[in-house]
Amino acid sequence: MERTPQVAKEAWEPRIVAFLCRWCSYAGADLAGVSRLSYPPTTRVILVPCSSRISPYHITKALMAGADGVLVSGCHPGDCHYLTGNLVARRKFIVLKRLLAYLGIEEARVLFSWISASEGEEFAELIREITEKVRAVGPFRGFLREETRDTHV
Amino acid sequence: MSEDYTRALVETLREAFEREGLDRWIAYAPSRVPLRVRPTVFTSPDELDNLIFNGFCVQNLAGYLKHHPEGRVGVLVKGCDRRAINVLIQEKQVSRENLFLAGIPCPGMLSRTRLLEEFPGLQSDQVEESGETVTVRTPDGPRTLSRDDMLLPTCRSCHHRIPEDVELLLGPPPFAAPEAEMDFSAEVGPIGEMPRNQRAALFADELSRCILCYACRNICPLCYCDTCFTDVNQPAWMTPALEPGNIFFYHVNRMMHMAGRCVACGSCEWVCPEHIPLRLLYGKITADVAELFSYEAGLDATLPQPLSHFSEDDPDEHIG
Amino acid sequence: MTRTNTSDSRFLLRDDLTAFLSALSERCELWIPQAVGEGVRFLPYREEALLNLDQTPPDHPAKSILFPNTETLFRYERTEDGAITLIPQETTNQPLALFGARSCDIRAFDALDAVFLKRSAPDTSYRQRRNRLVIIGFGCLDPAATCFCERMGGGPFDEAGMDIQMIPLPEGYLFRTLTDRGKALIAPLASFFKEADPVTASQAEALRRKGAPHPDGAAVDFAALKAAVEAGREEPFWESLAAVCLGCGICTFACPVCSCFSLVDEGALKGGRRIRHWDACMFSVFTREASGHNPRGAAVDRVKQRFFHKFFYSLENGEPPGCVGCGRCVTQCPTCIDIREVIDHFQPGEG
Repeated sequence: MERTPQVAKEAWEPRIVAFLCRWCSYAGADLAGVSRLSYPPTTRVILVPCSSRISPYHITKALMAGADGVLVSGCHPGDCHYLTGNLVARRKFIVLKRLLAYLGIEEARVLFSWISASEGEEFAELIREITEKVRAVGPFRGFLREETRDTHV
Repeated sequence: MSEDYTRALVETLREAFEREGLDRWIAYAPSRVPLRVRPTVFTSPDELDNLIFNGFCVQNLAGYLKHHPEGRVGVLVKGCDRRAINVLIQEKQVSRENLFLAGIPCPGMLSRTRLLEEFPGLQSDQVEESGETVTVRTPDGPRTLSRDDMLLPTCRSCHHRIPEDVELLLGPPPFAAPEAEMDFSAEVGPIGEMPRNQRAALFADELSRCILCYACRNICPLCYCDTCFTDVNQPAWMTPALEPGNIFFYHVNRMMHMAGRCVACGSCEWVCPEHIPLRLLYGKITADVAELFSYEAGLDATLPQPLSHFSEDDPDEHIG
Repeated sequence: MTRTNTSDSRFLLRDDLTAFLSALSERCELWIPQAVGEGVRFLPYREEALLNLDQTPPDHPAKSILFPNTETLFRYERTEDGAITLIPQETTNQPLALFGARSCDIRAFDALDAVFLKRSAPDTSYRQRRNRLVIIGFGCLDPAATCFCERMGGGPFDEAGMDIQMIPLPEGYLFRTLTDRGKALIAPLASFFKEADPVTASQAEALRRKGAPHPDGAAVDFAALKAAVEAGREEPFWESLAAVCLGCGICTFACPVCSCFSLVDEGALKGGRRIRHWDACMFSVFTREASGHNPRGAAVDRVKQRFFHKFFYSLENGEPPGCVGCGRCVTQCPTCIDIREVIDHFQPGEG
């Protein structure tokens, strides 16, 4: 997959793909919006039925296609609309997160969170926080690239 | 000495083939290719004359069950073949009752790469295995090596050489390496301690040699999907262009598929025409699954698999 | 290609090889066999590359110099107003020198030429590279146990297709210039060479005439093999190969002759490209059609196709046989599917 050319570093803003579950986190994001809370416009939200719908394919594909960071957010444990989807997802994500870190991808690029429908303020705060985390590690230049070997840290 | 063992083995298996009325027997036969044997599907007891067992029987025979699902099948299993069969049973790819398993206490398999490095042009008939040594006949006379030194890296760290739950447990071969002291994931810890940039560089160097021939996938006894994610093209997750993004995508996602399933048979590693040390990747997944979920793949076919399962007390250190 | 009337021989001392390659690399795009990881493959020259002329044959064939594993054929860009601009790949006329390839890999170029140049529409990017190519071949002193080039009509010192043949001798290398193109390539580097003294020249000549003794059967009669393969299309022999074939791509990727490829369009909003990449008849998706139907759906069909292409279809089409006897598929096949056994099966009594 070809990556679009990076813009100059001064103008660079992180691009974060956020996979949000439709029952909790997406509603939380909605609440942040209707409450007129402000947070950085760095996320591109993708609505999914459940955090367990997200597989490592989606996360790695987002990075391969030009995202600087990926967020997956779902219901708090116990609140899943499908009862246990988020618990299965939790197992999958911890293995993936550790694996990507082991392979040398900065940990800040792949983030997981639980946000409920009532947590508009928490959602806004989460986006502020992860935007800063991703900003700190800089633009993602692609997997296994020369440039990934001595970046930004 | 190993010839006597093989002859006795053939007779035992032939007797079982006839007595059990099996449709076929999956084991190994010799080949003309240096330091390699051929996995073979024997269809009648007479053909078994050609069967052999030695330190080059590296192919995991569980993989052949996916190609030959029908009928009652006998399989000669080492520890790792047996464990892979357990995973296939867990995933309902084979039924235990259709299998007749003859377990062989595995002596540890020899690394063809190491031997050829040491003895370029070496042929199978120059290698004599006995006890804890391997003797190589060279033009300058015989050279005796420690079997342990010549093992495949994954065999050096195998703690499950003796297959369990088999119909027939065969006697140990007259050649075997001592018990492994190392763990499959032993090399993973030190890599995890390296600075991130160095790890990134290490894997960039190793994986950049990948040619996406998919031999690691095809030889894996546990890869049986009709359509692999690599081949989905409407729309495509990845393209076959030989570029770092596609290579990384392939390996990460294949590793995730193997989490909680990989039995550390080492097939993907020895088959790799680019000699990519895949044990460093699959060892990581195996170590994490063991640490996080106290699970080791292929030991018990009745347990649920860790990644299709959960506990309310699972770790959540990764949730921000 | 013009052959010079008499081959002109010059001698390069072993110790001067590194400096020679460095100087050569400044005059052309140079590819050399180099050790990468635990294997040897042909890659563009770099000062720090580890030259390896010893491994017979290198793990990878030299075909990637003409037919890269992945190649962008063109790019396109789409502007805001929707207009699409095609951007062709850049071309150059700089010579492309292949150094140190053995005769098997070079003979395989005939088969690639047949596919990419001699069919109805020549392939432009292949032709462009082929026209630039100058070959410094390597006389092969130590064929491996799995080599069988002589059975396939070649030989370790076969010079067909080479512009220069390099013969390894104890103190260095004898360069036999065979074509004008080869002469032009090394003419500016004359200072590296000395005249071959008569003893050296006769040593080299002896090697070249003797070839390397090879026990592995008699030369293949391709017409007879083709007929036998065709007559044996339904033999259970094929099933015995398919029973153990894993369906991976090692044999085809390692083969200097295999040339199957696929085209993929990678498109995004602002542009994209068309790539060509190696594909393999051993992959079941290679022939899967859009409808889902797969004309070679069973492993046995795919195994048969590989050998039919090599020993039947290519000959039927008047193209060179699809095997040069390098033995790479033999050593690299994880389950010992051995092309020599296929040949022996259909030509009994000659193995």
